[in-house]
Amino acid sequence: MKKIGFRLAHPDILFWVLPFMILVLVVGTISQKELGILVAQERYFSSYFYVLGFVPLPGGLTLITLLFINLLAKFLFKSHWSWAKAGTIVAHFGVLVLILGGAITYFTSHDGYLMVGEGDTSNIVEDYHQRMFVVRNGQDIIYQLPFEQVRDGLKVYPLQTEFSITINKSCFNCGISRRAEADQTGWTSPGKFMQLDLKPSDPQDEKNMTGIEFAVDGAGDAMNGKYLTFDKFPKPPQIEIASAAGEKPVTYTIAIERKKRELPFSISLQTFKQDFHPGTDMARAYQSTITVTDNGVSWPAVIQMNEPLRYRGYTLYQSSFDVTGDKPYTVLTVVENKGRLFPYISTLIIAAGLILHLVIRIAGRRGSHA
Amino acid sequence: MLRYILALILLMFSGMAIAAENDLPMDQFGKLPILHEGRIKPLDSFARLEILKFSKKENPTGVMPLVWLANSLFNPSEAVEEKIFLVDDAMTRHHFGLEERKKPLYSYVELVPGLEKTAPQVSHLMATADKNLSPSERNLLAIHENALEYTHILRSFSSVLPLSIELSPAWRQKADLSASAPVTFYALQKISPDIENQVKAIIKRQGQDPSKYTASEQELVTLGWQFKTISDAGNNNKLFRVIPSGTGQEYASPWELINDGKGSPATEEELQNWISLAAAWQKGNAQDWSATLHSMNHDAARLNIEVLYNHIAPFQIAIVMFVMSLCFSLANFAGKNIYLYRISLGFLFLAIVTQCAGLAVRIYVMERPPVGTLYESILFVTVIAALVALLGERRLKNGSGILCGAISGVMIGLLGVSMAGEGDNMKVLGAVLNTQFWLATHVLCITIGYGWCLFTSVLAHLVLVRQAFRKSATKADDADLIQIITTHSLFSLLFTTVGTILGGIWADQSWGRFWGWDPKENGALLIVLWLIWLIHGKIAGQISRLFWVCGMAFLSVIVAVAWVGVNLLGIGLHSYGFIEGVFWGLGGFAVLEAGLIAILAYQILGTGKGHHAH
Repeated sequence: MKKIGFRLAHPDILFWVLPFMILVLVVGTISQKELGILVAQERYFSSYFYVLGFVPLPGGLTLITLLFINLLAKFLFKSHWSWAKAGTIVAHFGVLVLILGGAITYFTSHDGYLMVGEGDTSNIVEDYHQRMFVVRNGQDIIYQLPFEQVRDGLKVYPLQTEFSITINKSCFNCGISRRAEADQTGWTSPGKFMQLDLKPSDPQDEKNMTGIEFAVDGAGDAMNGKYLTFDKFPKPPQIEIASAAGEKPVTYTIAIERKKRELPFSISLQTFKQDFHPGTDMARAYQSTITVTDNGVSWPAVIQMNEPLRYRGYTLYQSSFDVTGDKPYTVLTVVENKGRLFPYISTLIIAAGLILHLVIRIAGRRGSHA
Repeated sequence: MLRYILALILLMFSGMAIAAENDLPMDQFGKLPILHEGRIKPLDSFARLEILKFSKKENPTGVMPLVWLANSLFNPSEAVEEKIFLVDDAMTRHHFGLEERKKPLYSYVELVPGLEKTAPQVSHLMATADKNLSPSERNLLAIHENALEYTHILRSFSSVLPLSIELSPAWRQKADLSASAPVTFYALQKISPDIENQVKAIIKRQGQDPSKYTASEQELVTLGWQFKTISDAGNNNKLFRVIPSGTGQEYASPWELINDGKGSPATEEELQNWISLAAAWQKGNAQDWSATLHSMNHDAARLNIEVLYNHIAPFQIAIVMFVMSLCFSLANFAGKNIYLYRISLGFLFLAIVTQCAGLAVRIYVMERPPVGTLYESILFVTVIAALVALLGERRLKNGSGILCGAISGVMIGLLGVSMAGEGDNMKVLGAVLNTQFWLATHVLCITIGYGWCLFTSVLAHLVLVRQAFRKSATKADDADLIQIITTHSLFSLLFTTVGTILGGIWADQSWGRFWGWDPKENGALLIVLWLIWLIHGKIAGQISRLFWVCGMAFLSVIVAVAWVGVNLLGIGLHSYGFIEGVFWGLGGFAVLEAGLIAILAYQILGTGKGHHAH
């Protein structure tokens, strides 16, 4: 065991890991120009290996794991526990804490955004990237599928319904064009006049407009037909089905939307304020005055740039806004991250270790000069 | 339309006798406040920025920027003849039909036909993404933007300054104007509804053809057209915000007072002061000029300091000092002399003091820590590298530290000069950067790291040069320098590491994640990894001493890539510093450095001076 530990602690591992780490950093950064930050991150930094040209190379996860093992082995088996090496040991320990925190964050953190209008209340957090194909009965989701699993020809039967939905076309990034007159038969507005076209994915994930064209069957002559919908479409198609004559019909909504989850507390937006540099349209501050309500207890809070709200393990940041409509909306990023404190702790440890190392080194040199 | 505007500008004051050469005191005029690009600055700064934008020089016509500005404001019919617009693109000159000149500077009047001719093309280009524009198209757009901005300056006071319009006694009476009072747009406003009604009646009665009108009808229709054209031209004229229109930082342009209803007794008084200034300028009356300026509010300490800063140009002086230090330092190396050593040290010290003074002024004027933009980081890194060099010299005492400090100062300082030419370098910051705490911690920490790295790199170059060419360089000298490089590389690592992690913490506060693989974050991490690799490689005996020194010398390229290079990608969340056009400069620098280091290493290997670290 000790022999393995000593081998794993050998500095040649670090010496060879670091150039590969520099390489993946450079390649991953440059590729962001073409791929966008999300894809580049997944391909190079959050992967175990990647291919450069035709050469397979270790990805970010492999390299960081190797670095962690090497450093841990060095820390446990080969540290010189002396005052002269105290700074180095502390700094190395700080790096271990930093990587450990990174791992916890990687495996446990969730983020999304909560959008709420002035005077409104919400506890719904939407994912930034995960698109879902969703069928709702009122507000309740009766069927949902991650968009990656949606494919042309897929036929689904939502629970407690008698109709089916067949996907005719799906595109992660859709363009919109006018539908030819000859092709309009069987379509319901707005699909009657517009069609979705496949477009290459945009490097910036948020810019991709995900959509589907589908056919509904078994919903009655009035509702059967061809429809389309897409992400952020303000009026997604609705299927109204009356279970018996004279009864109020049930409305089903078919939509592409971001994956949603609920917060254990709610946020009401009192006011959203933008403060501009005088005489310009350049904002110098954004501020959301909110009310947090949890278990019937409410209290006021303010969220602004660089000053988030932290509550019950969640951190809410001012990330965006929309003031184009009738009333202002604030967009708060909601992050749940169990490793959040690690960078703060590791910074202190690394800084202390490096300073200690320098002090000991300089003091030792002066001593030897004397 | 442009021809009409030009005609109007020429109409204004054309009948007046205006001093061709004004010799009025400009100091107090330069200290008047103007709200421009989000901050209140002195007119002196505004004038310099505008003329620099148009001509890429502060005095293309040999006239000081303030005099040019005053002439443009108060004597536009003469100012439009000044050759201030640089058209350095041959294709654009061809499109505009401009004659070729040794210095491709042209006047507003000369540009007007070309502006009209290319207007449809510009409308199309404005809808095109910047990355899809050719250099000529960008140049064309820039000329149109500059011309529009200059038009706003020329017409800043067209609402209140006298017009060379003949007004009949009857209209003068209606406008409450005495026989000798000058006709202004402001005065015409009172009779504009009447003029409009009468013009409508003429058109209804006589039709659209002016040749059928009587002489008096033609005069009235012309008056109506002139009034409407001036009025239309005043829309969106918000550039020259010099009238305090509320408490704090609210200022309005003369046209905003009329169009946006921001007028008040206080603004009226201030506007009258400007009218008096215009009159004094047109008559060349120094007494009235000075008396009016004296009565205007221009005693804010910040404005005075900024004007002083503009005049002194501390960073340019600092570069001269660095150059002097470099010259004496090299002379000292050529023939060891204590006086040369002291003079080089003195110049380096003075350069640092001057640079620090400049930074202190910027902190005072902008009320925030010194680094918020790429340009500011260059200024700060210059002083850090030089300060670290002084620190190194304390130990070395042989001039090596001074030489490295001077080289760093000259090179980074010159980079700063090239970056300063891109407009106002005292910019207000966007919301996410607008935080004193993080600017004072993360940004300063990482830029100190950059400065320290650059000094370490220059020192490593010095070791390579000594080993390659100096026969007298002893092993003891080298060992001393190597030890100093080691210490400074550790300081570099300390500041870049802590700075990088602090950046992550700031990102955690602002964007909700500690690390997002943003190009700027990756750039900072690149330096850290490079340093860790070299330091650990040396400690573990994985690399030779020569390789280690070469790696430390190459640190300059790593820093340049991390500091400036990542901005070339034009992506990421960091909102400052996205610049184009430095690709070749950076690439050239990297190739030169790699070549230089390789040649030196080859020379050392050839003479067997490299020492292995095992």
